[in-house]
Amino acid sequence: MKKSASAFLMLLFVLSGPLSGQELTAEDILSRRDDNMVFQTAYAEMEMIITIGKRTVSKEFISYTQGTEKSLIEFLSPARDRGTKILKLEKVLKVYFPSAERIMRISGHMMRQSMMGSDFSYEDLTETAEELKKEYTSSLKDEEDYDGFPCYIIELVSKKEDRTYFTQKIWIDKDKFIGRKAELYARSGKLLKLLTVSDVQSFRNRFYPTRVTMEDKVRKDSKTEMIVKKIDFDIDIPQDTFTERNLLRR
Amino acid sequence: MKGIVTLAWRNIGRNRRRTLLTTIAIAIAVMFVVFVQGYMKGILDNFVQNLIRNDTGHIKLAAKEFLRLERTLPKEHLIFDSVSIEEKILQMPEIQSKTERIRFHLVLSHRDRNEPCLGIGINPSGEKDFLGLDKHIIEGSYLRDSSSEMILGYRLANKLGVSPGDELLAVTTDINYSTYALTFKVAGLIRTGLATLDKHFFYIPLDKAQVLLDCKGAVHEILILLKNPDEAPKVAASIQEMLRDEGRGETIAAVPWQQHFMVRFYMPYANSFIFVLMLIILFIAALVILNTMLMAVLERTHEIGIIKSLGMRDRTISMMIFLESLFIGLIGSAVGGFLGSALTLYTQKFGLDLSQFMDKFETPVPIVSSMIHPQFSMRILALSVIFALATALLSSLYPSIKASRMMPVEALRSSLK
Repeated sequence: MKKSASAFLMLLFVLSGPLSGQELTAEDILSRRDDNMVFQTAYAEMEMIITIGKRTVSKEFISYTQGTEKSLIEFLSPARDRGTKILKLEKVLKVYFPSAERIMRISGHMMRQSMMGSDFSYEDLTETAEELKKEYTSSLKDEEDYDGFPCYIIELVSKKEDRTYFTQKIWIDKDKFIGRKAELYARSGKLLKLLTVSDVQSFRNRFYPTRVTMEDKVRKDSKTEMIVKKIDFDIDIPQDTFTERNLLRR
Repeated sequence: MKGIVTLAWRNIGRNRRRTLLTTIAIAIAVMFVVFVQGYMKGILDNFVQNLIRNDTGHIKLAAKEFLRLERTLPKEHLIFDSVSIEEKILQMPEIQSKTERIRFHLVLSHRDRNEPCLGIGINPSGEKDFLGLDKHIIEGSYLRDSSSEMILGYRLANKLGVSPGDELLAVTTDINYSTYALTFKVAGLIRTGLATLDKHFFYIPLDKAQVLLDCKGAVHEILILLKNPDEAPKVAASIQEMLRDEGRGETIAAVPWQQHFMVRFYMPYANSFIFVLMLIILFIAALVILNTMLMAVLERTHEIGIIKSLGMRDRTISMMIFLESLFIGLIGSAVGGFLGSALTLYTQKFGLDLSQFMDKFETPVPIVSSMIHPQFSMRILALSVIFALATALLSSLYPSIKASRMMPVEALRSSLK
């Protein structure tokens, strides 16, 4: 069964893909990229560096992922964020706040808000490759070098009117089939977010973006760097990891 | 001369319907002007009072960056160690009272409902002179100092489905970009009549807001009320000097309420708007008076023809008509002035509640309450009476001259047609 990553890993995998080919359609290119996400489970240790103006804040967290449906993130630092957990079950996001010892379900307007102060929104965590394929029309626009890598430029246009990112422009590496860059636009044509990949590593049979920068263009002078410090694929994760009860566990 | 006065007085009694009509026209015009002007003044006054109590105080102290970016409420621009500044300010003799606030965006959550709203950390007892929310509680009770309680607008409470006693989760990003949450118990619901406040605002004790934002001892704003509001610019200048001596003049500003953009830009605009509106009302009133007076004279062509052929002088005839207008004008503006003043004074005392209409308006800044107390002004009363009288007299000028110049034969003939 083909499974792809979700939550944070998803974000990274949106930008990852395998091996080369020629005379490809936009769909082929996207599929090739998505093929690279095949795994059952993953465990990752990550660091998030948020820069707003002159200030920089670093946050560490770990994440467990199972397929596209389930993921759990737990923050380790800084002190005020320590113990905050985000559980994703399909499209439902729940956050546990240790200070209040309460769980909040993220919904509606909150989905578009900054996730833990970063340039990523909660909504950004829930987008999956299947969804992208189903709900956007894709077309191969151009070919261009980005950061020294030859890339395909794929444009995705939402089939639905009310979508935060109505159009997306994605630069996919012609050689490794991983995303190098993505521009996310509002329906008005305004650039909302810019995602760039600055480091890619190979793990056994796959390439994997390990340093990704998201810039929320609506916030001024703001960017969030996401660094994968360690990642293990297809490991054993206890079944009760992705439950609300586990959220409440200290 | 005395004969003319008597004749004119009798004349206005001769055609009751005509006199009544003209008198009513003038009375309504005067009443309308007096009341509308009073109502407009009431709105402006209400606006300034709301602005001072909700937003500016007579003087507001805040970080310069916070003031510059006030629309987005940048939580990190704070006045740190606010107590030391407040202690110095309270020594000034002009100060009546002070309070401090933290204002920030956050999300309130109850069960599965989330609402983005505006949280205000307040000093519950200190706010009695300012927001005065204790007077707006419609259910439950007012906030207790340092409690883990919250009061919120009744429409916000409806949206979240909470009532007093329920627990709410407040989630925000603190000044160091950490996400933090605390639970609060709903103490009471407030209804201010300002749609924006009732729909989006909630209030928690200041110290809890400081915990949420991770900013112990710091506030966004210090608000000051003075014994005399007119002294605000002067006192603000001396506070600014004190801040400079403390070495904090670069980052913190003391702003008098008169400098608020709403006051600086909109008040003159509002005043000229009212002035133009008054001119239009008065112009229409003048047309009505002119028309009635004109009709009153032209109707009497036959009568004037007769008294002329009986030998009355032109000047005497103009004087007679002028006096008639004067009497009618006096009676009309007296009645109108009385009614207008009575209406204004009555509504000034008991207020005019337009909440049915006001609930529909949503403004980015709380502006005007639904309950308006019009402001009676002797000056406006005198002005509108004089204006109405002058209009009545001026508008009688043309018909009276026309009447006096009529050839008796023509006047008599025209009425026989």
